Amino acid sequence: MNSKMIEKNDILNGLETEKFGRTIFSFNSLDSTNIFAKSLPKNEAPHGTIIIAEEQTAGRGRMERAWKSEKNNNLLFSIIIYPDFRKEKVLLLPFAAALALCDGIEEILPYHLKCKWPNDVLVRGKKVSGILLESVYKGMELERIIIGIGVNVNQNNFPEELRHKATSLKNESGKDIDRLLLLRNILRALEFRYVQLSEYPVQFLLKEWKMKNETFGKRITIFQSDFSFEATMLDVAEDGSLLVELNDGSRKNIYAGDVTLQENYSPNLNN
Amino acid sequence: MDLKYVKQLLELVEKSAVNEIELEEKGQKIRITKSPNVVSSGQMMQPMPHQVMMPPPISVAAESAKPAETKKSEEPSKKYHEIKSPIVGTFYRKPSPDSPPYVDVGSTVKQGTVLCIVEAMKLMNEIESDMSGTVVKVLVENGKPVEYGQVLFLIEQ
Repeated sequence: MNSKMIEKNDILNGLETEKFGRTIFSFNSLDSTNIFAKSLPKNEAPHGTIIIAEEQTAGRGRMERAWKSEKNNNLLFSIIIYPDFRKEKVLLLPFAAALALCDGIEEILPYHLKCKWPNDVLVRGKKVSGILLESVYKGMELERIIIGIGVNVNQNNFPEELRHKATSLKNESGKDIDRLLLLRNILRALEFRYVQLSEYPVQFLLKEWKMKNETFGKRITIFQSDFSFEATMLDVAEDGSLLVELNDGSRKNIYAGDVTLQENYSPNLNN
Repeated sequence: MDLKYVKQLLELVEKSAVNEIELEEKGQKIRITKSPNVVSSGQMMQPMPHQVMMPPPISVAAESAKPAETKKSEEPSKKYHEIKSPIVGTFYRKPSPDSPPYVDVGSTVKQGTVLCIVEAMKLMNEIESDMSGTVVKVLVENGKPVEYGQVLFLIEQ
């Protein structure tokens, strides 16, 4: 078991990155690593700074949905990024983060993970992680991006209402996972994906992401703030938006919302 | 209607002060408007130039959003400071469906006060005020899509 708190020096020892994870703030308990990351002054938080906590008392996902996690069993961290590329590429950071999680996990477990638009990572159809990206704009100027990542690593139990859609790496593999090794892998992969996005045309990253997506051509339901609609997924455009065909045959680019694959829902699968 | 002709039309409209043009020729109809959806075709599914079928790239949306925005703010917005959306996405006035809005008309804001969130690709973009003052107008409804450069708030110093 990896029940010991992850300390700064444990991460640095064996870390193979240039910048990501080189400045670390680690906590036993924190309200939220993203909130802390937002509050840090720039001079104390260079590019690639991470904030890691064993427990979040106010962990949250999109739209402030609560993110609950067993203490000392998972990975909860945020990374601060000052993008050196144009704004259009910033919108592809969710894809870069999802791919980095796949890279990091696949190095440890022999799975081919799948991605769902824009940043879900799935093992056999269930979510093993949550990614919450937040950016801070001063007027039209982007100041920083915070990528909040939660990975279900060694958590055994999930609330009844989540069992059909959430799992942990341990639940899927039957073995305890070395959280430190996984974290260092993910940090290296995040740095690689960031550089890939920064220095190469976006197609490089998107092409790899698309190879991990199995929803092209399938029927999906898109949930937006106060309504939902059905569509057929066609493609992901270069700006990261989801290109879908609506029931009347027209095409639409989707920039926000939750996507559910229609035939994927099987509530009583296991557990 | 050949592609060259359509391209010429597009250039013509782009350079002119005209915002919209509609033509019908031999049963084929074409309408060009200076909005993010650059062209919409009529009854014939005539192949259109490539850029027409593609989602507008953000930079193009920026240019095309400008005329609309100056039109919208014909009110005495000159003396008001405009807070614009830095990206294409969905506009949220509150952090979660059950929360109160970040700001309302009449709210006093400082430089750095969070005004709203614009979400795109699950990237939650907090838009902060870049000046101190009072919110005099909220121009977009909660949960509605916004374009790059679209005015979201008017702030009075």
